[in-house]
Amino acid sequence: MDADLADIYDELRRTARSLLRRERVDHTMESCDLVHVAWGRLLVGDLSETARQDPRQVLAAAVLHMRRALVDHARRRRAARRPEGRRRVDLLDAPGLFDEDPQVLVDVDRLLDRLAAGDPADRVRHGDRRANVARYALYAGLTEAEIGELLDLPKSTVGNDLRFARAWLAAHLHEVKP
Amino acid sequence: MSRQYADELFDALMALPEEAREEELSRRCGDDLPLRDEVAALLRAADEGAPERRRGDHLDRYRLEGRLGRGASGEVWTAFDEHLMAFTALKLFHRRDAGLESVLREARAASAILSDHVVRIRAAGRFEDGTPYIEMPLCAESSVDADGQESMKVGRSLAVEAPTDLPEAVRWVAEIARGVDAAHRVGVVHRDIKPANVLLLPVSRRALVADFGLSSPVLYPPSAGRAPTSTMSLALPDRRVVGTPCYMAPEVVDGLGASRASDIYALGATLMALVSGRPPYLAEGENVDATTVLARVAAGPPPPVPAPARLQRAMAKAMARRPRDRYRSALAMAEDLEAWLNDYPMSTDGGSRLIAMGLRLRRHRTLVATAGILSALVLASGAALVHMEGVRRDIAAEAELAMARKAAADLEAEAASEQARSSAVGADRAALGAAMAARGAQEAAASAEDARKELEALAAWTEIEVSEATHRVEEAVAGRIDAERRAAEAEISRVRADEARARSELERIGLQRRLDSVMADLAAARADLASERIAREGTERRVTALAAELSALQTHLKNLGQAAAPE
Repeated sequence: MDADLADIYDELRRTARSLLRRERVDHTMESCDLVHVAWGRLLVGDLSETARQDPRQVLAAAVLHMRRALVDHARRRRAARRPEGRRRVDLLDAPGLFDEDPQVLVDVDRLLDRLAAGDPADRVRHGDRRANVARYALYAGLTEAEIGELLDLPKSTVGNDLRFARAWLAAHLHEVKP
Repeated sequence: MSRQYADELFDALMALPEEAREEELSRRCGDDLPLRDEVAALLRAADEGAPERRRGDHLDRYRLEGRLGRGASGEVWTAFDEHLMAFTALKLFHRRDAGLESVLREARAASAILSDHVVRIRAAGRFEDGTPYIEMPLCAESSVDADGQESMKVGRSLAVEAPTDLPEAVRWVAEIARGVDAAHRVGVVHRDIKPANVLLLPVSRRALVADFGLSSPVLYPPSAGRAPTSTMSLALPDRRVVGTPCYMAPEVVDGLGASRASDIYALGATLMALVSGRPPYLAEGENVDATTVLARVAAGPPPPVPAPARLQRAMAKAMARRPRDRYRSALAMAEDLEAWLNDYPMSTDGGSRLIAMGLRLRRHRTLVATAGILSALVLASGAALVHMEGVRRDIAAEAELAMARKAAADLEAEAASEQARSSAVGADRAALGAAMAARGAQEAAASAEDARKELEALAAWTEIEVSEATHRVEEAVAGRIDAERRAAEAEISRVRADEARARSELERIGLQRRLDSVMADLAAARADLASERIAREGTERRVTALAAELSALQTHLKNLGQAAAPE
């Protein structure tokens, strides 16, 4: 991953964590990067107040922004290179995926959309929840415990959801699109 | 059974120890094959943390491009052959055990089949990592949409593609029957013909037999609980059967091995499935297990499906209980189906003259209609002449029509006797059936129905025969009109020639006259000339006489002078 993008990502993750732990959020915008601007927009005005009262909402919005920025970036980058060799990568680790093969990140994102939409042919009952849980892990790098706290879910459920999402993504990646 | 979900089943199975999962999966899925395949793939992915194969992976000279499908035995991928620089289809098997050698041997034999209706096997073997594979051409065609965008479409099986009409279903089965025949000719028996093993080219909509010689028991997990439409290896108390229950010939169910005849049976069953939209021996929406279906196959033929009687008979012949009553080759079956498609007599018509006549008319229907329109045009253009010819035409038409009516009456008489005969047969059968069972009655009804259909065909035929006779009359009239016109034209040209001759005669006479008068003039001129000459001669004579007179006078004068002078 590009150095600056990696920095931004780390910063976003730090912010997400501090929000979650109700730490003081006091960021100075230093870069004019797209992602920063998106983040900045979240934390000014009313949202800044919301962040103090209900950080979950802000975090959900932030994950959305992070996702958009990363996937857009991956789309631009995917043509540039193809992976050499084969490494085992966690399908729920956006920076790792981006490094390995930006196309895979784009595909994973699209598959999570499909999982959330609940295509009857997929026979998945809780696709919506599982995709949501997976997104927090994928884009915000949150741990099982953190996601559980954020979404009010038992830790075991989050664990099941992540395990299922990894297997489901692996099984459906590289399918030919109809 | 309540509806099961892949994610919940996956969670439940992951909670079990690894070795117990496969069995529990089979138990919980029962005959829900798609769910079973899906969850099995999820379990594999969970074990490995990543898909077994990925797009871009290289296997020998192939680069994997995308997964087309996933089944119990393996996966099918599109791959790019970097030697041939072409896309191809690779079937990669999950199992790496030695039993697959026999499959590969069969695949090698099947690669000898040369037919436009068989998916050819281009290569078979193992990759370096031990994965057995079979390489086939990619059944894909490019199509151009309304916006002029070209795209590649990959063919799907007839288990998901439905025919647009009855003739298309029959054409597909005729095509695959030719493919199966090509296999039989090189000694390969398919053993698992069914819609799911037939691929359809997406644009040209041609059917191809796939998975040739691959229906080996080693590939399929033994399970009595699986759907009767999937390939399986079933252990029964005294025997083991391999194949797909709904398409399995009775002798195979009885434990005899697959043969050409059982392939022909399966072709008939496939036709039945395509015509009715569901596999033989299964009612609409019915959900029964494989052993139930095997019991039904053993008990008797499947209930007939709604289809034209002649097609019913072809299906019944292909699916005859005894192998020797079936078509003697897949080619014979293909030819019969093609005959049905093109309105020619079939071997199952039993040489019926009525059917043959009806078919002849049906084949020529378009031709007859076109001829009628043409003759109408001729008549319209020659309307005036027709009017003049009216009386003569009426007489001729009357005669022709009378002949046609007589022919029709003959045919009706023939039909009546046919009806009498078949109703006699029907009555006999009904009596027999009443004595025997409800089944006999059904047969009698069916034969009466057949007789009725034949009579209907005959009625249609007579009608067309009459219209054909009318048409012949019209044609004859048109022909006569034409001849008349030609005669008149000849007359005109004859008169014209006479006129020309007369004219030239007149001209000749005129000239003669002028010549005569010129000659007369000439004669007159000559006469004038002659009289002139005579006159001139007279004058000359007078001149001579006058000259003589003059000289005499001169001489006289001289004599007078001389006489005077000496004095």
